[in-house]
Amino acid sequence: MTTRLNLRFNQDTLSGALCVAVAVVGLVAGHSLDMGTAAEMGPGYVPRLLCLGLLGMGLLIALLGLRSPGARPTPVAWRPLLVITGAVLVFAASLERLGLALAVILAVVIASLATPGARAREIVTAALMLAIAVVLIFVTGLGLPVPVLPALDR
Amino acid sequence: MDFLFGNIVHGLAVAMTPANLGLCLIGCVLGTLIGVLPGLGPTATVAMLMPVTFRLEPTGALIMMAGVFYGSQYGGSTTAILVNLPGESSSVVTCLDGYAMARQGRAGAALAIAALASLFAGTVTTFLIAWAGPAIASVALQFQSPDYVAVMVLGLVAAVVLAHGSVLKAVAMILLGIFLGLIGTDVSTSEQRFTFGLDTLFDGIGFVPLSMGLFGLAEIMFNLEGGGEANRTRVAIDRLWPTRQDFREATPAAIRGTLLGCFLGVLPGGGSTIPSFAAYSLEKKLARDPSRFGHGAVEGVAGPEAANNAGAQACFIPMLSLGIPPNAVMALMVGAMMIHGIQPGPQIIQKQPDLFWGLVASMWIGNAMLIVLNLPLIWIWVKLLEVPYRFLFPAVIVLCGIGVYSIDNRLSDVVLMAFFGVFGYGLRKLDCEPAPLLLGFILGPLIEENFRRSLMLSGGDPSVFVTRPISLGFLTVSAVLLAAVLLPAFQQRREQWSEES
Repeated sequence: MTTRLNLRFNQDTLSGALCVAVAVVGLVAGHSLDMGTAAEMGPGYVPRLLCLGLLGMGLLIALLGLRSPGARPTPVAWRPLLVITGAVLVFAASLERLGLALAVILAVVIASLATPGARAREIVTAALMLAIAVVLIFVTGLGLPVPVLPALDR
Repeated sequence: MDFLFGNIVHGLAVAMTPANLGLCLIGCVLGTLIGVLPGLGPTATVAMLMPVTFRLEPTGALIMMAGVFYGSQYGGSTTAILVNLPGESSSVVTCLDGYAMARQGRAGAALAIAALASLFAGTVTTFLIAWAGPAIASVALQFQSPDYVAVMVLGLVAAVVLAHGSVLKAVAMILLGIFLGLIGTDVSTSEQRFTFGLDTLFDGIGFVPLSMGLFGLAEIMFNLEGGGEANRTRVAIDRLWPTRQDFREATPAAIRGTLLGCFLGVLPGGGSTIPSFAAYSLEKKLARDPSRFGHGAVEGVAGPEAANNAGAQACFIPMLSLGIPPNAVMALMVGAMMIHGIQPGPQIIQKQPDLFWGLVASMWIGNAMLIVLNLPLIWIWVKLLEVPYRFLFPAVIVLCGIGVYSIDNRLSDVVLMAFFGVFGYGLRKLDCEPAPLLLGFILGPLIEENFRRSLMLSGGDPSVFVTRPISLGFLTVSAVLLAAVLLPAFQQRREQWSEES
């Protein structure tokens, strides 16, 4: 059973599947685009050619992966993946509403949770220092038009 | 020769303005910094600098970005020698003999040999760029659409040949990159392609969110997989100057490394990593007593260090003279030029002499700065090695976020970056390299445009690509390369490289 799983979920079959998936999306979504002729190509000509190529490559990679048992992907480290993505999204959500200073502090505090053994005082100090540095560089220095601390303006 | 001399003087005048000198210094310091710190590469750093450079004038911006790239080659060797950790992938082989020298109490000599070999290589390569760049560009000015398609195909094929791991996957990554490049408004018909009604995608996927996600964020996620920090044992630095014996052994190795680096760096797909590996195996083959390697052979430091620096600078040649980026950092520089409204291509040298000659001259100045930064000031960087990664990565994330936002003041770009971070992490899990994808993304729109124009001019006849001698030549070389890479003997070679790194 495990060997069969190894065969199916190795790095090659999954990469192949990814390519096939993108190619199929491209072919379906690009269906309405005008092909045109070779001499007078429409917007759909190159995408279709490309997606067919991608489809072929994906199938080839997946088939070869099925035949020879390649390496299985190493387990996904969910903690850094989710925490870091979360930190970036929170940064995006808070930047214009809460201002640059708070957005930086939030992002640093959240990102620090990506590793075990983070120390609260260290994180807060680092976040404050970084917030000050970033405001000085990007707003004072480079003139980035973004609110720094809108809460204070009110 | 007079022409060359006059231009170099002109370039020096441009590079010596206080602003450009300052930017060159900032680039070199940053480059050394990220070179010393393992886990932060030049690609991610140059990507982070992109938004800052919008507010600079293009020559200064490129001078700074270039400094980061070749500066990281210097810094990478410091970490390799002192703590046996490669600061950059191109200094992996320097660990072998550099750290062995350090353990024998010759850390200073190893650092000096590495820095001097890099300086030598940097100087030679600067002149190579000044000489070969305009020569190649003047040929390339006669290129027409089919030739452009062919030379870009060659660039992509070479990226496949020199990529690590599976050839098929590298091809697939390029196609995927081209596909991502198609998203947005079609230039010729202004029709929407694959935008799925999202406003953000109307102008296409931004180059900065894509590259920062793929290289900045994904790299952090990957680095944090281990959780904690690696144990670092440090060795003390004694006297810096190498012995006369060291010089005698290192000089020919540095010359060979430089030549190898220039050659491999110019090839599309080149950069600094492969030349350093190639130089190490060359030195080992040529040595009278190969068993010394791994036990502190000076040639094993001088050769690869010269090669990686030469490679890092030589890859500017195809970028500046043809507009074709041979690796991810060069792709970022092309992106920066386009944002400044400079169309990359062979006309750059003529139309933007300040930019080309200023950049070339700045490389030489930068190399001189780097020697000072890396020998007398080495203790600063040694101190920096003690900064734990847990302080670094949150700062990198914040800088990526602000950087992406500051391009167009669009929050959706930040979200897009987060998406590509996850995507890039997934690609790494599947052992797919993001670098060919980025190359495809950059070249894709250019290839499509020239492909359409070629066939329009030929009335739909595809033979136009094989009847023009220039285009036929490039396509033949591409085909030969692709055939060679599929040969068993060459495949073994590539696997060796991949394994060693």
